[in-house]
Amino acid sequence: MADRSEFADFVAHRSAPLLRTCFLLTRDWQLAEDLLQSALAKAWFAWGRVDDDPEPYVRKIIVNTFASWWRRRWTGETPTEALPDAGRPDPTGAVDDRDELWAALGRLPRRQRAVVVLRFYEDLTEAQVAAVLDVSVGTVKSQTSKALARLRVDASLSTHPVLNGGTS
Amino acid sequence: MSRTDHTTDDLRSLLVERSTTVPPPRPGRADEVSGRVRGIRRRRAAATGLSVVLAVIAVVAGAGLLSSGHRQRAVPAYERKVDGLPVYQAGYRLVGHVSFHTDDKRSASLDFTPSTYGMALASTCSVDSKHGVSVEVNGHPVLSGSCGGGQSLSSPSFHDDAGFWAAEQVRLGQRMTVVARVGSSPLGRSPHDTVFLGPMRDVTVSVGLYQRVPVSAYPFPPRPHRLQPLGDHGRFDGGRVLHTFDSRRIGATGSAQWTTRMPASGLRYAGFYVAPGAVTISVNGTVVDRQTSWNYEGSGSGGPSLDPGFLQQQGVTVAIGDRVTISVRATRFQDPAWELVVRAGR
Repeated sequence: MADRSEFADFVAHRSAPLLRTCFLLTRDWQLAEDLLQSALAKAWFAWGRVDDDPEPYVRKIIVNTFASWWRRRWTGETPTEALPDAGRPDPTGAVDDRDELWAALGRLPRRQRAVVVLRFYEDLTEAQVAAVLDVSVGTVKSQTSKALARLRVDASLSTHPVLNGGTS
Repeated sequence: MSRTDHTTDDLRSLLVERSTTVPPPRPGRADEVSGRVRGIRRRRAAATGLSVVLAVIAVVAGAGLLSSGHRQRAVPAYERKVDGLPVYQAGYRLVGHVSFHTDDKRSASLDFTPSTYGMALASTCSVDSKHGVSVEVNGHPVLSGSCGGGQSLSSPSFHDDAGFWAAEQVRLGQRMTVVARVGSSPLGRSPHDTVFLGPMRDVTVSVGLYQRVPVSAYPFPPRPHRLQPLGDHGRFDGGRVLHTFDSRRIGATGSAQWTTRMPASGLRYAGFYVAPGAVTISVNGTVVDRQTSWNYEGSGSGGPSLDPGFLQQQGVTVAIGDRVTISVRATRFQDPAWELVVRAGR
């Protein structure tokens, strides 16, 4: 069980990696900071009840807070149902292509984006993602599959073992 | 490389690459979290207190009805709600709202002719839910989010009302249409989130349109006998405080200024309020922020990072090492019930 007196230490030492996760979810450093602080404030109230390693618990709060946040359009983020026409590929190649992938990631619905970040950045298993999002493993699989389809990512080209079977 | 050539390894490396440009460490984060914790506590305490008060009122009112028939306690304006939406909040008054039950409808609309750009939107659901509700104005997505978490008010930034609403094709004197829908995606066209969470049943969704009220017409709650204490922030190690504008020295209303050199890390500030009032923040004579408080519950509000980049956007040219003067002007406070803490860092 985490000791509340350790909360400040946790904030001081674990905020940086958590902030990166927040950024990948929000795509804006200021919003990421806001999301992180909101999650930490919620975590503080449950601090005495969480296990020895509070980080998974805080990550769960982050993802669920993100998924339930009111998104204000004037933050400039406007996900859409379909990816816009990509137009002709730029001869400069990979850099533009990565920008395109990054932009497409930003257009994913919030929960799909959360699944992508948890699976491919945090490297959580499907079962772990399901636990964080409080959904079934099947839902994680279907959401991963839909997200990759929207991102035009071909899972069959992956060489990473974590992906195998992850998008069935 | 074509669009279909991405692999999951591309995706992994992209996520790592984009998240590595993390901003410099924020020394005051713990302090700001502490402020949020305090705010949540106060809201909970206020809610608990309100529940007790309402229970007592219910008992008294019930007894009164039994004894004298028809007498009822009028609900004061600052407590009044319509379909879960407060009639007054944060300086705004409800001027139109739309509600629908999810067993009957998936959306509903409201027509309104605005006379001012000082408007805001709020939403609430009868049941906390992870399901999404989206709001569009004149066909433009404006809000999208979860039903959960109680009532939520969203307004444009303090000096950009007209710009925001104009971008949504809102014109004064012309009818605007607000549509509330089940589903988180813009315009509600994607049923994705709803499918993800299953059907949304037996929930009443309410969306309210609010209009700013002159302060003289705003129904503030009565002042409690004792105000919440000021200055208990900094509970956690929050980094170095450079300056504090403290109403206990400056006065309930009044102005003060402080000059320093712009540190490489930039400057930031947060205001703390335990009574209604407003504080305007200026940098080198240009207003950059206005923070307001509308009740006695106690609240904290972080301002924008005062780094050269942000200030340039506000029309203030300041380089690292230049002299920078931060001015505050407090108005409307009846008590020395505010302070604004300036720290180094972003």
